[in-house]
Amino acid sequence: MNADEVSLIEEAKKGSRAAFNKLFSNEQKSVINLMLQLTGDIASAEDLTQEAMIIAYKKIMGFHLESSFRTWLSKIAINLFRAHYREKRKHKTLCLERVRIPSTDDRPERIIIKRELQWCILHNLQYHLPEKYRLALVLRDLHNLSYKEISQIGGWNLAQTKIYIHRARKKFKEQFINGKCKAFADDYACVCEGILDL
Amino acid sequence: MNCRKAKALFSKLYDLDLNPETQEAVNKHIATCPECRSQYTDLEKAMIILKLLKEVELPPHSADNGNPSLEKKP
Repeated sequence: MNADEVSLIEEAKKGSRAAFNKLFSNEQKSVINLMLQLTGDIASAEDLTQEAMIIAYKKIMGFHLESSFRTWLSKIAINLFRAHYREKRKHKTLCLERVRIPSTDDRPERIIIKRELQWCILHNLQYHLPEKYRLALVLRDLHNLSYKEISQIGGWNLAQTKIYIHRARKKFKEQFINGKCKAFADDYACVCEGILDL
Repeated sequence: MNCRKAKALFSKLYDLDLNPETQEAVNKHIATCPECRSQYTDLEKAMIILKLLKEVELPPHSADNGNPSLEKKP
């Protein structure tokens, strides 16, 4: 954690909304992305991030710098996600229109295939991975968190964390290889030469 | 090292979370075992594909406006 962040946290604890807003805006995109990757739905991702922000603001006095602000905020958002979605998950079709991709790419065929592939990945995460595996995979491979940070957020010990990451990758790989994603990935590899040329 | 042991260490190998001796043993096994090599390559490919999700673009109002909504919805 850098000195600026510590200083902003101290200011926020003294009641500075501006300091809190600055802290939050630094992490907002990361948290919305995390919630989108976990829920597969941008509206839910925005709602959960908004709720997490309000809770973080109320609880900032109880934050004693045990982790980075991002890890602490992510943990709040993940607890909300768990509470809201644990029992509500149903196997349904994700709305492809809600998955947006950067518009900087000028090759339409690449955009379409990539979009299909992103939909497949989200679908696999949502409906073919148990919640704890999904969480471990997203935090490790999409947010590059350390084992220690993931164990703090997930409430697991280090050994459990490593096992969940291992099983999540294995399951995601098997689902990917055996499912329709593989065809999209092969198409994508054709269009985007070399990207999968390992 | 046998296939069962090697496969159990794939994730740690991917994270470079093995001691040098074990890492060398797993790599040696992968180099000589076509099935394990194929499975490890599939894992690497799946991880590259997964990372495409990092590129999902959020609507402009979500995060890029630099204006957290604490003031709007306290």
